[in-house]
Amino acid sequence: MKRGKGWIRLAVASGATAAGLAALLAGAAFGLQAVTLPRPSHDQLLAAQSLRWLTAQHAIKSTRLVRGHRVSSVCVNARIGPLQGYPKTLRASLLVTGRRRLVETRFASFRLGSTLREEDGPLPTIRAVLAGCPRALGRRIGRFLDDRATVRAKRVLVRDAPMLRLSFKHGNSRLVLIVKPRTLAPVAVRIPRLRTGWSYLARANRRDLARTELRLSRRLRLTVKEEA
Amino acid sequence: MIAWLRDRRAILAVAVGSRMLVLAAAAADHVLHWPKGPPPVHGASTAHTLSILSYWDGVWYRTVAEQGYLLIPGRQSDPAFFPLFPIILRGLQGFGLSFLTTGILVANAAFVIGILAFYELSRRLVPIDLARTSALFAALFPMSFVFSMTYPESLVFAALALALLLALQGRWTLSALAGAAAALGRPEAMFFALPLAAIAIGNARATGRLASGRAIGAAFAPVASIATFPLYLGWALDNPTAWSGAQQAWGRSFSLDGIVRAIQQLFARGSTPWLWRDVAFCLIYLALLVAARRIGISWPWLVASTALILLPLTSGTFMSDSRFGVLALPVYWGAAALTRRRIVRLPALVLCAGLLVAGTMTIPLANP
Repeated sequence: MKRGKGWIRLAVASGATAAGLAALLAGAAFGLQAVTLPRPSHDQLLAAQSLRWLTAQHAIKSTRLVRGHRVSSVCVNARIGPLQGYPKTLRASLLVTGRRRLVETRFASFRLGSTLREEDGPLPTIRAVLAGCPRALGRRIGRFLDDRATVRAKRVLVRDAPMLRLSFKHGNSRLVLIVKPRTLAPVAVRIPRLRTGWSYLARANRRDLARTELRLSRRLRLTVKEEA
Repeated sequence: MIAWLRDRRAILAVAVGSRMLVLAAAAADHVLHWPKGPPPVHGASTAHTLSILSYWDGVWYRTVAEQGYLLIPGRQSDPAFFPLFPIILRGLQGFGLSFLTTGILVANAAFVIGILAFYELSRRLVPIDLARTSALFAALFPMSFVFSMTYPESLVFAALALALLLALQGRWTLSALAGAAAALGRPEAMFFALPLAAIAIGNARATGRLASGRAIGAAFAPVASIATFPLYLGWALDNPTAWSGAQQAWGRSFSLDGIVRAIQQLFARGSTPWLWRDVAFCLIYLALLVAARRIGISWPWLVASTALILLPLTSGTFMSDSRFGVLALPVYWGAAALTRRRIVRLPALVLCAGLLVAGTMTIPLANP
């Protein structure tokens, strides 16, 4: 009986020592990480959360004023390929503005008519960003965060509703985003350097996705596939 | 100490020599501008003579050291990388050296220490001639160029060898410290909790007593250390699952059908042929573990090593398995066992050295 009790006491003492040593090391490991590595700012974390919302979307509709005219767009996630030089299919955005259709990827942009025609220059990407295309806008925000750009969050009122304004700045590059304070869903975007006006964003609904311009010909469907 | 080193000068010479070989190959790559691979990852330095040693994941470790972690949804981001190496890089920043120079110095110095520790560990587990040969194989192994890159592998190799050696010597607190450090460098180090536990139990049996608390604590140390990483990410990023989130963006998601997906990926259109290098090394590692078993290496070591080699495949890809396997210590004992005869050993070591140079020179072509 005595031996049994001694064994239990020894086992408890061993367990306590083991747990104590493991806890001590874990505490030291955590402390080392906390003390040594820099932490992102609260505003950068808000931007990352806003990006998380955006990357979960498949389609966004937008409205903006261009020379006094209201222009509406719908942008859906798509895949394009295989193309010459790119054997894999690429993640893309299919942007429909009026009757114009544009496919934007990381590498190139194409205007969709009866066939694909490559568009040069940065304008297609800017259009896709302002239209709130989840991939194009997400890529832009992601690049700011990759570079650990300065992000400033400020409370603002938009149409009497409290919102958060997230301003990104890295070198000459800037972007301003207005997001809902609770979900951090972007509701408006602007590129100050290009002096564009605000582009207002919302999640696309079923009616937006039923637009005839989003229906592709059989030939185009071989290369471009909608994901929404 | 000098006498101790003098006894091990052959091992030390091969460890240093193998690193000279890797550094010379990297420098030759830079000078000759050959082979030209895809443009290096955004932010990688190309100006330094040894810059290819900082390519690929090295850029991410530098980012963590410079700017800390941030999970960027929908993109490849840095919480996929464990913190030990960035912590050391940041800690040594005060010496005024660049991250690249510091990284290369730390990686190579840790490797030389690691080889000596591994030799000492081997001496306690296998006959002395095999211990010497296995240390030579570890130094010259074709994939061992990763020990000279700005990656945490060399630190983890050294920490693992020290943790296991100290456990065999019964110095449990120091063993726990080394084991915890290894696990903070790479998650695979956690598997070596198994041989640590086996050593603790073996010691207890030999003395007819219960395993001491410190011995059990040392076995749990790698696991406890790993658990702090999600805790830290939860504290710093408000997201304790940031590591697995980041892994998904890197094309890795752990599931039961992962190995099937990994095999399918090999035959998928557009997949890189370099994946076959990983497949080849995966098979070589498994064969060497079989050879290690034949010289009496116990099951806990083999199970830990097999898990280290095979579990990454459940993430759906063979990518980098050749690198992960360099930490499976029994692999080198297996290699030594297969090359016991001098007529086989020398050509095998020369072949390894040749492949080591080739591996270094192809760093720009494929992520190791």
